[in-house]
Amino acid sequence: MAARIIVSGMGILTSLGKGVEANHHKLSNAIHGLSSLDFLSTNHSHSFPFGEIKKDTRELLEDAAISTNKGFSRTAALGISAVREAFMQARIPLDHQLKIGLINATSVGGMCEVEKYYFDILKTPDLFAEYSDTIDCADCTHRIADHFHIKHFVTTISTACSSSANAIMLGARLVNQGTIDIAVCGGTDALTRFTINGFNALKNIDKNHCRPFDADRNGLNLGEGAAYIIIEKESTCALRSAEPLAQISGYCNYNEAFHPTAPNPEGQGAYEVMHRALAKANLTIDDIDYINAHGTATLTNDESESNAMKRLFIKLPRFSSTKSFTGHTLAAAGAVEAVFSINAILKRCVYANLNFKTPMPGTLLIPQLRYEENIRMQHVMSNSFAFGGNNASLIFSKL
Amino acid sequence: MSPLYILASSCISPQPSFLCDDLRMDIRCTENNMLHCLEPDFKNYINPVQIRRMSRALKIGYATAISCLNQNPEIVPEAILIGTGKGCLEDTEHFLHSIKEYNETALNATHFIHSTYNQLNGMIALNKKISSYNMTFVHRGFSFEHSLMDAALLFEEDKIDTALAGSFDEMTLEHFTVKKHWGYWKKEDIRSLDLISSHTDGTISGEGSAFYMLSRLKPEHPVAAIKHIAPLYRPSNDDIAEAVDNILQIHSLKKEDIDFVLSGKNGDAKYETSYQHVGQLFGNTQKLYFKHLCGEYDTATSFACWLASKILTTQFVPDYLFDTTETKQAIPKKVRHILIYNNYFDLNQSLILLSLEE
Repeated sequence: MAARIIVSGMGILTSLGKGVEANHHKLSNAIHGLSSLDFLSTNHSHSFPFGEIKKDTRELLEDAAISTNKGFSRTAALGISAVREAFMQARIPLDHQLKIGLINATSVGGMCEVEKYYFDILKTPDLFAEYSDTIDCADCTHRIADHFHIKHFVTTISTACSSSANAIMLGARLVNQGTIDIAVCGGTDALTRFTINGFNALKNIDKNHCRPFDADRNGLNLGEGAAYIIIEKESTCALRSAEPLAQISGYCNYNEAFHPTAPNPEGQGAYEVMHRALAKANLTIDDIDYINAHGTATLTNDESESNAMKRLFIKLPRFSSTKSFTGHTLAAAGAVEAVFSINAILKRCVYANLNFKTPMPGTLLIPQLRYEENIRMQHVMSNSFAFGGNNASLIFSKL
Repeated sequence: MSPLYILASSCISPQPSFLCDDLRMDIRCTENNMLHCLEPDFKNYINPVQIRRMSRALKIGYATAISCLNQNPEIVPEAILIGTGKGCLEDTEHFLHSIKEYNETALNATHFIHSTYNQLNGMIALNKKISSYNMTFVHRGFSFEHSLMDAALLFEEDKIDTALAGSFDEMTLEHFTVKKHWGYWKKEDIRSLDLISSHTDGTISGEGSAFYMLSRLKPEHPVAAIKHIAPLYRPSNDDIAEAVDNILQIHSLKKEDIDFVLSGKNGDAKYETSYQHVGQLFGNTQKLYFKHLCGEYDTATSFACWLASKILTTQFVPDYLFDTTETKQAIPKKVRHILIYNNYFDLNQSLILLSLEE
C-alpha cells in the first residue's frame, strides 16, 4: 500500500486576518471580512464589498520580514507571509537542505503592481525596471521560492478559480511519486482593478454581501489572500518531529467541457469531479462529514453545485461556503478553503454559511447556518470550480 | 519517468513548420529583432463565429492543437496539458487599455475572459468535448517542461493512455517595446539567421505554439519519444553537470551516445557561458541550434522538441540547424538520441532527452 500523503503545516492570510488562528476566530464568531476598499484605488471602491487585507504592500512586506521592497508585488508579499506560517508549523528551518518543491497558483500574478504603473511603463520603462518581470504569474513564485530556498521543483499553475486546488493536487502527486519530498502548495492573489473590472463586466459581482446558496443570491464578492499547506509523507514529517495534521486522501481534476465561463446547470461536471475524488479516496458518500463548497453565490455556480451535491449525496452532509466571509480569493481560494477544511477536522468544527435566508426552489438545500463544535469530522471535501470548466475537488481526512 | 511516445505533433512558428512533415522548410529571416508566427488559414480550424472574437495567440494555439488532434481522429486524449509563459498577452493589454480608456465603466468582458491563462485549455476541451484532466502551467521557461512532466506522472499513476500536451506564447508590439527598454533585445538590429554567432548583449523575440499527442504505449512503428525532462531552477554549473550525468545514467547512455545537443543558445552574451559549459560537457558532440528560427520566448523548448522529434523520425538533419562558424562533425548514420538544453534568462533551465524508439 502506498504511503499516506499528509499535511504538516498551514499558513494563511485573508481579510479575516493573518494566521490560521485569527481566521478561525473570525469564522467561529461569524465575523466576515468584507468592506469597501481602503488600499486599492478603483472607481468601484465603494460600489461593492471586498475581502481586502487592511495593510498596504509596504506593511505586508515588513510583516513578512522582507527587508527590501524592490520589485516585490503585493501578491508575492501575501504569499511569503502565508508560507512563513506554514514553514513554522511544519518545523522546516529557513536554512533547510530538504528536497522541497513550490507549487504556486495565481490568477493574475503581479498585475496589482503592473496596472498601477502600466501606462508610465509604456512611456518611461527605465524608471520601472524593478517591475520588469511582474507582469506574469511566475514572478511571485520566484520571489517566494528564493525567500524560502526552494529549488528542487518550482512551478506556477493558473486554472482560474481552481488554481490552488490543482496546486495541492499536483504537490500530493509529486510527493507520492518521489520527485520531491516536501511540497509547499497553495496560491496567492491580490485584489486588482483588472479582476474587479473583469468580473464587473461579466455582471456577477453582488453590490451587497454575497449570499451563497440563497434563492435570492446575486453574485460574488471579490477578495484577496494567500494560503499554503505543506505536503509530505509521514516518514519525512517524523524526521523533523513535526505533527501530521491531516491526510490528503482523495482528489480529482476534471474539465466538464460545457461552456467558456458558466457551469452546466445540472451540475454534471461538479458531480463527476466529486464522485471521482471519492473514488480516489476509496470513500463512499456516507463518509463525508462536511463539504466546503465552491459556493461563489453566482446564479449559475450555486445552482450547478447544489444539483450536483444533491444528486451525488442522497443524504447531504453539512456544507457551507466560506466565501461569505473572505470573498472569492480566486486562485488562492482552493488553498484558503483547504486550510479551513483541515482546521475543521482538527477542531471538529463546522463553519457557517453567512447571509442565507431562502432555499433555492429547485433543490431546497439549506447550508450550515451556524458555527458548531464537537462534531464528527472524519472526512472533509473541498470544491473549486473555474472558468473554462476546470473543476477540482479535494478530500482531507482525520489522521 | 514513463516515456512519452509522440504519436503526432503540430507546430506554428515563425518558420513554415505548420503541416510540414520533414523539416524541408524555406527558412525565413527577419532584420528587426522580432520573429512572428507564419499564420495558416485559421478558417480551416476555427468556426467563423468564434474566430472573430479570438486574439492571435488563441487562434495560433487553438489551430496548432486542433491540427494535432486531427492527425489521429480516433483518439480522444485523456488529458490536456498546456504551458504558456504569458498567455494571451494581447487580451491582457487590451483589457488594461480599456479600463483606462473607459474609466472602469461599460467594459467588454471578452478580453478579460481570454486573458485568463487556462482559456485555451477550456476552449479545446469544450469544442472537442474532451472531459478529462486539464491543467495550465504558467511558469516562464518551465511552462512546457512541466506540462510534459505532468503527462508522464499521469501515465505512471492513472494508467491513462494518451494526453495532448503543448504550449503557446505570443509577442505583441507593445510588450516588445517595453522589454526592449529593459534590455531583453539587442540594441542593434540583426539578421535573425545570424543570431547564434552574435556575441552582443540581448537576443531577439520570438513566439510560437507546438502540440503533441502523447501515448503511454509504444506504437508498432518507429517513433520519437520524450524520455526525460529535467527542469533546473537557478542551477549552478555543477547542478547542470549533475543533471546531465543523472540523465545519462538513468537511460544507460554514454555521452557519445547523444547524437546532437540541440542548444537553446540565444545570441545574448550574458548567457553564453552556460551554453559553453554544456557544450564542453559533451566535447565533440555536434551542436544544433534553434533560436535563430523561432526567437526567444518562454516556451521555445516546445519548438525545439518538435524539431528533435522530426529529426528522429525522418533522419533528416537540415543544414539550417548548424552554426556555420563551427566545425561540422560527421552526421551519425542513425540519429537515436537528442538532448535539448535551454537557459531561460538563468532562472529556468532545462534538459530534455528525446530518443528514437524502433
